[in-house]
Amino acid sequence: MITVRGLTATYRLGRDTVTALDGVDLDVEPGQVFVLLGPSGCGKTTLLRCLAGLETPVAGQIEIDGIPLSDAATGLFVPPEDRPLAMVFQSYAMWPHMSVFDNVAFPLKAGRRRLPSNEVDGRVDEVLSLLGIDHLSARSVTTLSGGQQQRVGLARAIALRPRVLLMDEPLSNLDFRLQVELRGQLRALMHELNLTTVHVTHNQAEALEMGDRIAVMDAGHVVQTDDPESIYHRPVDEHVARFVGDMNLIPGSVARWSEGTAQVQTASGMFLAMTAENISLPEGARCFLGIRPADLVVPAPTDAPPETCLTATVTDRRFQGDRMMFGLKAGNDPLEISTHHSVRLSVGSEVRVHIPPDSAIAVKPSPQTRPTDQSDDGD
Amino acid sequence: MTRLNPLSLIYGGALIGLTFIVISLAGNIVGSLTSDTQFNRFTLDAYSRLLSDPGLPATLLRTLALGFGSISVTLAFAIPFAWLLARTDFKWKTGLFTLLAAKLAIPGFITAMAYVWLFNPSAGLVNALLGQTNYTGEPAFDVYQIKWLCLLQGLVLVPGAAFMLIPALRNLDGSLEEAARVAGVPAWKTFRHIVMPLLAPGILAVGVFYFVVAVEMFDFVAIIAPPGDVLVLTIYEALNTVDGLPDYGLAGAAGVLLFALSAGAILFYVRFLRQAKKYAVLGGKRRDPGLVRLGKWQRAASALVILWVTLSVGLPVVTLLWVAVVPFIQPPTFAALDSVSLYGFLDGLAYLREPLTNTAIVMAGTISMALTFAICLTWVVTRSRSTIAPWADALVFLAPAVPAIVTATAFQVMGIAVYQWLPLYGTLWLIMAAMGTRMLAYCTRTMNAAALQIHPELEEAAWVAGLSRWRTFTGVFLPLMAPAIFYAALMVGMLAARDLTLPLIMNSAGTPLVSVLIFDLQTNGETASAAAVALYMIVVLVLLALTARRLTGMAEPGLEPTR
Amino acid sequence: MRLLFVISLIALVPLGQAVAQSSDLPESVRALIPLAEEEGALHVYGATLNPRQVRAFSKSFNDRYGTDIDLTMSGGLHSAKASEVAMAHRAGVPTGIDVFWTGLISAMVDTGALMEVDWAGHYEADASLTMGKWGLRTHDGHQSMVTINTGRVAADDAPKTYMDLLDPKWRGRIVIPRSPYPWIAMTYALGEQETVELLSRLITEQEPKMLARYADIRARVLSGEFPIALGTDIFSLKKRGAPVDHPDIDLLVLSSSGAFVLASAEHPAAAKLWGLWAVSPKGQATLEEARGYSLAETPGTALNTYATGRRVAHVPFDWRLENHDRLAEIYLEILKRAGS
Repeated sequence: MITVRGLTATYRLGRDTVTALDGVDLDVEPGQVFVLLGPSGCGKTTLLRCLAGLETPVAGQIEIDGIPLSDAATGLFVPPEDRPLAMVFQSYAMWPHMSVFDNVAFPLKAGRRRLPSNEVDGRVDEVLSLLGIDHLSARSVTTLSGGQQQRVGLARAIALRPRVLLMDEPLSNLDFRLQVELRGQLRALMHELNLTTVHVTHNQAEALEMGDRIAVMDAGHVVQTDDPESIYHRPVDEHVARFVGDMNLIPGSVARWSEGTAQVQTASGMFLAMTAENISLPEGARCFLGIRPADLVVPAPTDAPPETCLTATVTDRRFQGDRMMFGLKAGNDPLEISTHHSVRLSVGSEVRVHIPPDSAIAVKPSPQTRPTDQSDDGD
Repeated sequence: MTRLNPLSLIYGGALIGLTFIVISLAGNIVGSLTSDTQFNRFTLDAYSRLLSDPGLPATLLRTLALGFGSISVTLAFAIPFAWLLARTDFKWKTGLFTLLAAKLAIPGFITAMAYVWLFNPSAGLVNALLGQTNYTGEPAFDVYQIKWLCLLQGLVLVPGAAFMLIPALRNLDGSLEEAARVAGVPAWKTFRHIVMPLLAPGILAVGVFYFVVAVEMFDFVAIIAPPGDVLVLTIYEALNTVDGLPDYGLAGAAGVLLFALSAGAILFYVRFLRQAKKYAVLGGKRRDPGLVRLGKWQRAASALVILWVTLSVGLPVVTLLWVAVVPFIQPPTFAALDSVSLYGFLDGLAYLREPLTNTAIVMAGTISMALTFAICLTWVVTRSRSTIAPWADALVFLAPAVPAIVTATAFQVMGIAVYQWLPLYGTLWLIMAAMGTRMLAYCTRTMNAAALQIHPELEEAAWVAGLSRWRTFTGVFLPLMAPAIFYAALMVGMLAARDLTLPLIMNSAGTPLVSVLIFDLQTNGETASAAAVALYMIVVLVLLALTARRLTGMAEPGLEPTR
Repeated sequence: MRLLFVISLIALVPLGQAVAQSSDLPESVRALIPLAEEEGALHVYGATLNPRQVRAFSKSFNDRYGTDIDLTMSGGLHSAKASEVAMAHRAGVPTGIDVFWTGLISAMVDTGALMEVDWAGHYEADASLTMGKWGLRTHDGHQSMVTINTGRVAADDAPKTYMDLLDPKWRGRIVIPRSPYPWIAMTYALGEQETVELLSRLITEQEPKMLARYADIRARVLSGEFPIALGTDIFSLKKRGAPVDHPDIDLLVLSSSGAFVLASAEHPAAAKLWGLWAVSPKGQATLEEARGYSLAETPGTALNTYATGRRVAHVPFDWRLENHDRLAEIYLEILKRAGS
């Protein structure tokens, strides 16, 4: 559906040229909700804008449905209006001089994908009611709340029946409750309309919940592309592990590696762990033993094999309502543990912690050589 | 002792600016009520003389036609040019900017003269080439028509109007355009349906402003002189009696009539603005506009630029070059080629040194004065919630309707009146103050438009973060206004360098200015030297503009510091 | 109504003032020199000159008196400046101007802004040069003159009288100033009735092009766009080989300009010396070289050559003061009829 190869984009900052995207490859399947996830400045918005035709890549190709849209080598560049896509902006980009209806109708009347004039009203009404904002139709967009504007922005995009829908942090300007509510709604809607969607966010919970597939980006590179569960449970490296959900990362080295599993030697002992697919961990290389706070079991069951346990000291305790968080220290390595709120451990006491081998993961450190320029790409 | 509130500096600056405006406006009104030059007996005699003139309705109509005609031409070029410069990847941006700046430096009379040579009905070169002059029958072109006057004035006002629009365009939220493009709307329609309506308040402001300027311009009226009066001619005639007393009464009354026309236009604008509150930006969150790719529109854009450049820069510059090398003004003929020499350039160079220094001083002084007052006024108008702010704005807006001659006279009278406390009369300072006042409206128009596009949240954020309002003003407001300030300064500098009327009336100090030198050389028949000096001046001013643009980083519209 | 009608077939008597050495100067003038040197500077308002011309003025002036006075020349719109000077005088504010070098000064006359100078009596200038109680006539204006483009009009085809301008063949071919001034001066020579008729017919029958500024009129006749112009002289252009000339018209109307010392002059002695220099032969030569200005009586100048053997009407200063405003109104009215 969408194919991106070797995409490189730069921008100038004063006299310097900064690389925002560095040889990115990407494949998005039809009907997928594809999430670009990463911290501010990782290049995800630049990538989205390249897809939209709002930025001009200096190298690489973009194809949609096998039709090349941009190829730096040949100088091919299809302007945004001729690309079969639609976009929802972070700021919603409402045209303030138009009503809700006109904001949706304008591209249908004046754009490349315009409809016969007798069909415009029907299409607009249809999407407005699909999004439950048909009662706002005549209102000026400047009088709308953020959530309402967001829906108008979405309606404007959907009304075009695009082959691909691009969304740039569409939820980030909304309050938390509304964000959570809309995540599910949006995902359902995308699937209902069978829309191929590329969604940019820096919010990992949003990414995990909405994405059929997630590409985690860092400093202009795509670090890992996978389904949400694999991203969560089998991160390829330290960056992904840290960014997608909290993870305890205990430094160590690879003692033994075979496809899918590894033995990791840490200060607290040797542990068995899973690894992500398609990565190799040469023996003796530095690595981390990763485990989610909720996956640690404390106190360790008495029948847990000793090679899956370590001893740690409780350093602090934080009550979070349904969960109880404990800070621990195993030797010099800090550990976070999330337990049921009923679990009681006293600060200063020593506890045995069980690391279930199927929850532990061996991850590579992030390469030090990766460019770390932080571009402000829209956050 | 209480500490001086630094914010009162801003109000103080605004107040001085307003005072200057009032001097110029009051000068006109007081003038209209006097029948002699002593200003001590008041009468409505001038009004009755003016209004009883049976030709007045026709004069007014012609004046209106001139105003509307001129701004139509101006906007037809200035809006696309501003957009090309501020928002697109147009290939010849530096070239376009340079030529716009160059146009500002070309004396108006040269442009008019070039057109007279080419298109006059009896001997115009074009007519002669076509073999159609009024010696042989119907001329192909007749430059002595109000529509040509509109064309020429319109072309001349393009740079100023474009520079006025650029800051507003730059401060427009880029994602609004991008949203349209991604939704399939092509560049041209995006420009028409998104950019234009959002810019409407700015465009209207420019239109109204230049309407006022266009009906007050004299250079072209004097040289083209289409049949029938326009108001500015009435004023000129009343004041510039070759012999005898200037008729301040009649000039004033005609000036007040010009106000009335202008005030009507301004009132319309103010009403429009009131209902245009909805155009306010939606949130502080905006992205810097990326440059719009013109693609195949590059060629259309180039064609428009070439058209304007040919008409308004090419012709006059070629004319200047020709005039500079022949001993007296004459159409280019083979016979005239024999008398070509570079004498004018050598002479012009010898004349230039002292006037150039003085002109540089006047430019610097006028820029500082006009900008300081304008920034203060803009802040007060757009940021304070003062109820007098809109009135102050309207007052500033009205100032360009005061003919330059009247402003000059008003400042001289004021200078004489306050001499014992403030001996500015007869110095360059007073000239700079008068020039600054005349250009204040240009500055505030440019800056207000930009200031309105900057969301107040950005400043509120600074206050909330514990910055004083003064620090917010200097640390947030001013940097955000940088593009507007730059273009206002550019324009003021250029106009100050070129302005003739004020120095001609006010400069009795014997400090020659370049503009006066050119005028004098021309009047004196030393046209070659006059043209040479004008060409030198164009080169100097263009270099200055380009340097300023480079130094201030205004050359790369898309790449200002992110906001 | 009987109009003043004075035509003098001028006998161009060289001025009695022709003295070249400061030692030959009258005692009263020589007495001014040390005072002027003390003053050290002089500002003449009337015409902006280019730097080379200012040097020429300054050199000739200082050479005559053996002084080293710093001369500043400036110019602008005379009518506006005159009323400003009057205003400044009443307010006791210095204008920085010593000599007002101009044609008509009525705005300043009533206010006492002008210094009364006994040019003829005390400084022994030729009595015919005095202008009222104040001025010294330095050059004669000829704004009523007719100019032809010699490329477009053959010499014998050119108008011989002002009435010839009404020949239908010149319809649409004449450029004139939008000013009553030439007609006011002409009134003195032709009489009011005849001038009104001439102007009225010129406007309605000939549809002349009217321009506000004299420089523009010169440019148009130079370019050949209009074969005939009225209201400006082209002596200096002709000298440069331009295809223009003054045709052999039977009448020359002159109205004068002169040096007027301001009552508030900071350099009164130098100011008076300047006036006296301007009418001296060297002064006259300098004026003509720079501006084409001269007195009709000064031998050898272009104006003098043209005036010789011709009827010359010299509009008296007092007559102008008396009649200017009234006539200006009449002629402006007629001029305004054009095009509307």
